[in-house]
Amino acid sequence: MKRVDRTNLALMAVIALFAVFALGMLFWLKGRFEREREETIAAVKRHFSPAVLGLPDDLERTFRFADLEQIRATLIPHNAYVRDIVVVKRIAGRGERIVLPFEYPLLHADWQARLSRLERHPLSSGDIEYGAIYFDFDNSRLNSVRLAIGSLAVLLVLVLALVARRLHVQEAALTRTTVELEEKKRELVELERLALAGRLSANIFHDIRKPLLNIRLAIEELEAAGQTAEDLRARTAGIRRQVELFFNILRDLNIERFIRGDQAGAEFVAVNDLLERSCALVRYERGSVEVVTNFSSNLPPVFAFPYRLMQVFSNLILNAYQAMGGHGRLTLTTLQEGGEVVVRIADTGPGIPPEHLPRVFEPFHSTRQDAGGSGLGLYISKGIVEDMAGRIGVAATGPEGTCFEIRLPVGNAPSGA
Amino acid sequence: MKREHSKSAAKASRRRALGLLGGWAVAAGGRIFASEAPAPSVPQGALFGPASSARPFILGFIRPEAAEPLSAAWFRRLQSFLDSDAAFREALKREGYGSVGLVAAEGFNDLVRRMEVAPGLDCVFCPALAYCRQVGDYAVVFQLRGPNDRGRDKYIFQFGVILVNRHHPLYRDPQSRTEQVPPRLIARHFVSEPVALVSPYSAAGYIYPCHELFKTGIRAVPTRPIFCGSSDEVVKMVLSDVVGMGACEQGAAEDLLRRYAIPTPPEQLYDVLLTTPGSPTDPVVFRRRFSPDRSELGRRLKDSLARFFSADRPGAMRLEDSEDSAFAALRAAWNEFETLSAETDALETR
Repeated sequence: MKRVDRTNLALMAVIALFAVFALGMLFWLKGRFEREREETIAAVKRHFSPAVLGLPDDLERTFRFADLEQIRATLIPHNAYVRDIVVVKRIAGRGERIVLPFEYPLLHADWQARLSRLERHPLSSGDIEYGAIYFDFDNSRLNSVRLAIGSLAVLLVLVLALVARRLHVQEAALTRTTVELEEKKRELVELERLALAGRLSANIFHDIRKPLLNIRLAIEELEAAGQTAEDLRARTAGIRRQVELFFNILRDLNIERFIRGDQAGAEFVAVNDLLERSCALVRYERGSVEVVTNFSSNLPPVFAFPYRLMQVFSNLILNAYQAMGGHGRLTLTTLQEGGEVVVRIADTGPGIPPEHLPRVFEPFHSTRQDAGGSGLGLYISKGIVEDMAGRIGVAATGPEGTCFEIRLPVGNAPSGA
Repeated sequence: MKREHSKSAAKASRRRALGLLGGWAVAAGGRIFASEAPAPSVPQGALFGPASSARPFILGFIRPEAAEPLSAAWFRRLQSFLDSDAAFREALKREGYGSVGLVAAEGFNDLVRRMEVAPGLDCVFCPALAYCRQVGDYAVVFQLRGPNDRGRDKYIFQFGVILVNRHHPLYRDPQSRTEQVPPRLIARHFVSEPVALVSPYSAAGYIYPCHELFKTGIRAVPTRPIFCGSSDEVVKMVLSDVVGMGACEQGAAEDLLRRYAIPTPPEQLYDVLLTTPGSPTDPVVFRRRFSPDRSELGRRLKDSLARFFSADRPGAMRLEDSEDSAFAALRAAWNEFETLSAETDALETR
């Protein structure tokens, strides 16, 4: 279907080009015909000079009808532009009289109406107008060209209208597709977040299992008879502490908001804080990795969606933990360069093989598919960062480790936020 | 002062008209000479024909206004025809002539001068007035009739007319033409307004109309004459309303309307106010010593010309036998016109 559309468009473009070329040729031809017509007029007028036709007050040194008829017989039958001429002579005190053909008013009762339909070209000598020539032009050539120009112009307009309509339709389809893609992308982000949450949930459950077990133990002890009021208070206080601990775990992790995918609007956020919260979110994958923070103390805020940015940071940190296999050092660095806040997440893992480097941000590209990687983490992270008018890339990679770098614009609200 | 100016203008027009009459081409020996070419001298300079040590027999002509088909090419054909006529050539030899040559006069006066000055011309196709004016020794042998497709070829006299177009104050509706327009009224208009005329030496297109109006007692010489060169041109001037009044050969207007296929009845286009007495058509004259009744060469020439003109094709001129007496009335009218004109001029000068 798309191929057919392209063929149609190409055909229309060829027709339009041809029409434009043909129009150019026809305009040139029209100009040429008009020039030749003007030259013909000038040539005919030259033949009827004052020496031939006489000046208005020079009736005695007059013209000869036979001479005028001879000129007409010489000029007109072979002329491509003039069918006939009517020559009038101005006579002092008498006005204008038709002298060629002299019989014109005698043959045509409506000669004045006929004359008014012809094109008048005055004959002048200096300031003196001594007559005029009425031209009955043969416009067949010019009219043919004009007709061709009109037809081609209509064709061109039609083709352009069709092309415009086709482009409009395709633009609408493209817009629809783009919107659908955006929707899919959002869905992907959600899915990835949920996948991340799922992966974290086992460790979370491990953490909250301990206070829950303590609560259960305390309740069992409470149920045992012979408890004094002091013991009861001590046990309930223990239960309350465990419950607080349970809530603290959940609060610290903000896991609930993360899983719900808090869709709150963009706001000014402190990148250092988001990095620390992201670290906490994935701490169960940390193992014995040493985490080194190298945060700039006077880092300006960035205008961003905090939980999305956390998703990015969590993803990168989680990737670093997994790359290092539980041993090594994770270095988190923030700094300001110009109008940008720079975040670097560096690990001491084995690095990204060179053959994978160009494709690390492509969807469904993963080196850990056997370990449950979807291959969408970096692709989605890139999309989130770019939505916030930022950039993400691999700053360095090699046997000594990998460093991802995120650059976010300082302060200003990104367009569309 | 104004009259003086008008008179000089009329004379100037007459001079220009002479140029028109003489503005013709001569063709002979395959060469065409335009009217702007220097005037040929007489006899050798004007001679166009086979070179010969013997004196050539010279045919002279100008463009005869009443006989337009007589072109230079036509005279060349006549020259060839005469040259190929064995009997005529024999007669030429006996008279001491070598061949036939052509002389084209520059105009009316030039033709008259060439006819008067030795060695003169031997056979001349000349306007009627030129024959009346010259004082050489020539005899009329033929008169030219009009082209046979004009419906006027039976006439050897032509009449002059004064006509006005339908916009002229003297124009009468066709229904009210029973009464004559007073000649004095015609004369007053004729004198005071621009009038289209054939030429100063045209009998029907100038002399006779003026002569006729002289009879009213008014000096009927136009003060604003427009000499057009031919009756056709006069009629076109009048019908196109460039001027309101004109004088020309009778029948020229009808002839023109027919040729141009103008469907309007003539009486709705113009009104003939006056018709002059007839004047003879243009003559063919021989030097008197070659008069057919006294010269073998003259008889042979007359026969040859008669045969040449006998071809009955459309537009061809025809010859009619004639004699000097046919031109007596014209000569008298001319003399009277000249006298009256001169008297009026003298009167005005005083």
